[in-house]
Amino acid sequence: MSAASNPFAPSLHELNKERITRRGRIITGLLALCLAVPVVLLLAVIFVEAMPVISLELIWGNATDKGRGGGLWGPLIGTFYLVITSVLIVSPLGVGAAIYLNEYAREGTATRIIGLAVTSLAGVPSIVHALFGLGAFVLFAGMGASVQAAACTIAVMNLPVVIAASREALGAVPRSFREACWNLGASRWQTIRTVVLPNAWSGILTGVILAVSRAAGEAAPILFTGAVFFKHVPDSGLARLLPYALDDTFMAMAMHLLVISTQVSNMPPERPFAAAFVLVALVLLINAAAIRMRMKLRNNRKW
Amino acid sequence: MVIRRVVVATLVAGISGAACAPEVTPRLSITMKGSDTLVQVATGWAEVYRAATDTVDVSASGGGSGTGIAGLIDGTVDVATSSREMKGEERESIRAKRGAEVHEHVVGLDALAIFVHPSNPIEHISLAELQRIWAEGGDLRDWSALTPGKSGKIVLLGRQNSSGTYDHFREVVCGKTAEGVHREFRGGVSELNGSSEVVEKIAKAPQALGYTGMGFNTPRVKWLAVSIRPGEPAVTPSIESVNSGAYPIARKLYLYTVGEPTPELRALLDWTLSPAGQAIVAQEGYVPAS
Amino acid sequence: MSSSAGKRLGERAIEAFITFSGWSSILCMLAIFVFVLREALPVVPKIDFVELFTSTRWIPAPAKGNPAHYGALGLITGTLTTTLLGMALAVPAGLGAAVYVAEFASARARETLKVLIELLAAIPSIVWGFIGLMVIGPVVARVTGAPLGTNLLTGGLILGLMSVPVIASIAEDALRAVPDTYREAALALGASPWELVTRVLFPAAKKGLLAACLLGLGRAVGETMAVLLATGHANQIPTSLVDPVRTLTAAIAAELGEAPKGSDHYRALFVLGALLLLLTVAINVTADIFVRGIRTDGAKRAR
Repeated sequence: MSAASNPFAPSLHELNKERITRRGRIITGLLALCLAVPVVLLLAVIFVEAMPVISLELIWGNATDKGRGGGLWGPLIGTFYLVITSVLIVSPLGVGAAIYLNEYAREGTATRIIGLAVTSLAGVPSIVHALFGLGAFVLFAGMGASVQAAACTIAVMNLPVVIAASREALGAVPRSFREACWNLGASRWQTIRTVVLPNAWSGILTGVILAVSRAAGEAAPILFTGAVFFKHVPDSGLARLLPYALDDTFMAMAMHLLVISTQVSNMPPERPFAAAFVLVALVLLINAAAIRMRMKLRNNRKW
Repeated sequence: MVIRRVVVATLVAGISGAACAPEVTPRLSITMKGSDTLVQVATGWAEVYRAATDTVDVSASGGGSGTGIAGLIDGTVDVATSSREMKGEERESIRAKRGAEVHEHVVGLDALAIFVHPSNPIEHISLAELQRIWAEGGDLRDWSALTPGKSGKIVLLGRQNSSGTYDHFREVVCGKTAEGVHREFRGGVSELNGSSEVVEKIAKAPQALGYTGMGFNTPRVKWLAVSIRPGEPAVTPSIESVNSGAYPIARKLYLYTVGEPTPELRALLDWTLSPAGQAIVAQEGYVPAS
Repeated sequence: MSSSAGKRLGERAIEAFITFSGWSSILCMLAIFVFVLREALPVVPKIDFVELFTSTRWIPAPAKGNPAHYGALGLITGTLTTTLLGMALAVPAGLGAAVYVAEFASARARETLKVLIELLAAIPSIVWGFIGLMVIGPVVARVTGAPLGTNLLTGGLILGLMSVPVIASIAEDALRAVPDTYREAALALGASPWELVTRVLFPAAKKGLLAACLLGLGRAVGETMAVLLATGHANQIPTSLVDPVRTLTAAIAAELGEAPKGSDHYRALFVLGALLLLLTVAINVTADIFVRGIRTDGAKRAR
């Protein structure tokens, strides 16, 4: 069929462009797959290697024989307390900072400097956070290696995460909501408390949940500020649920994984894989909850 | 909605947990920190001692002999485990910072074994050859110079620079120059953070050569007999050869404390030297102190 | 009257807290600089800075009677080579994936890929290090015949995998931020979708894309736990792709726990930390300047 008989047939030039586009689509699609496939593959490998030891005992039991047997209860409960304490510290500060930047401060040098500080904080390497935590909380503030020192270090690390998510959430609330309140005579804080915060709450919570997942996964900041490899956790009773005081050293999942994958001899290989699996599953579940919350928020928006 | 409730519930649980914890666990805590060579012994002691007594909580961690001693100087640990002897400056620092003397307790003996992959045909090596391999300025880089059945670059695996193992090995193997200057290690050695890592890596690397405590021997690696000079009879690491002094790279394992020990600390220290404590030392592959 | 006065006081207190939180990020950033520099400064006069940057002899714990040497060239090249390798992998994959998600993917593929990218970003760095040590390392050793599985190549691969989600998500945001008018104009002039991407979107979004790459770079440079486990810890200038190396971050993490507090070794590690801090803050601030460029450009274009 020559082009002359069908005036709408694509020309050579157009066919060429189509082919290039198709190639481009395939290449970028493959590159996108480069992201997706490794995740799934690696997680599958971890799961398969960990399978022999996955059981309820893994979660509930104490580690025995230097981690070669038993479960992960000590590190799990330690990570739990670390995360809770750290989130309790970072959430008011982060949300407060976001409120300040969005609702109170005027656009100008001050906000630019604060924005710069938040961005810089986000880029600080985790080992430098560890150095800071060691110098500031463990030594200077005299907290010693403890849950509180580690929690403060992680709180500083997570501050940009909470601030960014909260700012987005607060910014998404339409200005008209606030203006309506002001027209009724409410003060700035009253407006925020009654109208802005409740509408931004889900977005803020997303940020907090992301902070939770980061706090659970980080190892470097807690290495020198309070995490230890072995600490006795009682086998039963209330003390089993509350084994660490705020000024105590503690076990944590990230630390446990680090030590059992490098420093214990004759470690059956399923054990580090099991610890990695539990840690990844924990973090991914928390993140999935955040993603779901964000999707629901998008659907439930009243504006 | 559900997620919100769950979050609030966990926060409440967490707050009450963190607040209540001190009352629920009122036992005396003794921190033991330091040598990675000894960390498994220390953890074993912690687990068993806990069951043996009811009032003392021992927490054990590694980091290298240097960390434990550093913690002792700062006053953040009660017992420093060390696989090398404390240096003069360190004793001075303790005298200066903590105003008391250091007490040294020998809890066992250890041999620094030379490990290779089981497929490696080599069976013994001399200190002279080790020096040419490990010390700065040494000229032995290839397996073909050591054993006829093998060739290729020797991949060196050792410990990190705060480790007592590192320190002791450097002193014995790298030795001194003619002018009496102590030699440093050469560059390019993989400095691993734990003794078991050395063995694990050697088990997977046919070209590797590494050193670490004899307690970390596994069926997946093999150790070499060591002689002082090539051609001399080579000695394998064992309880007898360490005790008799025939094995050239042996050392003592120490616990250090500062000042007069409290009754609980004294009880723990005595227990480590008791048959029960020493059984754990032997179980981990070291030589009991007797 | 009195109840509203009481309310004013409570409100004043809350607003004071909010203002304080607003400045907290600046406080934290300054505190990090102060504490890191404070611990590092005393040893600075003793360090030969020429040696620091040109010698590979890092001997902080010398044999009896020898002076200490602080040559960080081996560590610096370790960081440089692993980062460059990681970027060589992450930039094409990240940008390609971003293009695919923004322009070519169907709505459902887009949602799935975005979720996968977020989950990839959420995997803790210690788990990445574990994967490098136990999964990818042995594969690399088998495929390339390398003597050790933990080496430059493995480290670079892991860093690449870790940086890809950062680059992909920010680049995707940058591409989306280009106004639709650009797309419509290009298509109206007869551009193919591929020409649209390469000739119109890339130039329009180049600041944001550069920012994405810079932030990915910052993540790779500052990464600690992953390289600690996956690169092999040999302080040397690598001569082959499968030589073990050591990065600045891994050196600090490995040696900090053991250096006696206040000793020269300890302070030298803080000097390395200060260098890292300056480098990553510089990278992040540059990226931020570019990102701000997008917003102002977007505002200009929308007019």
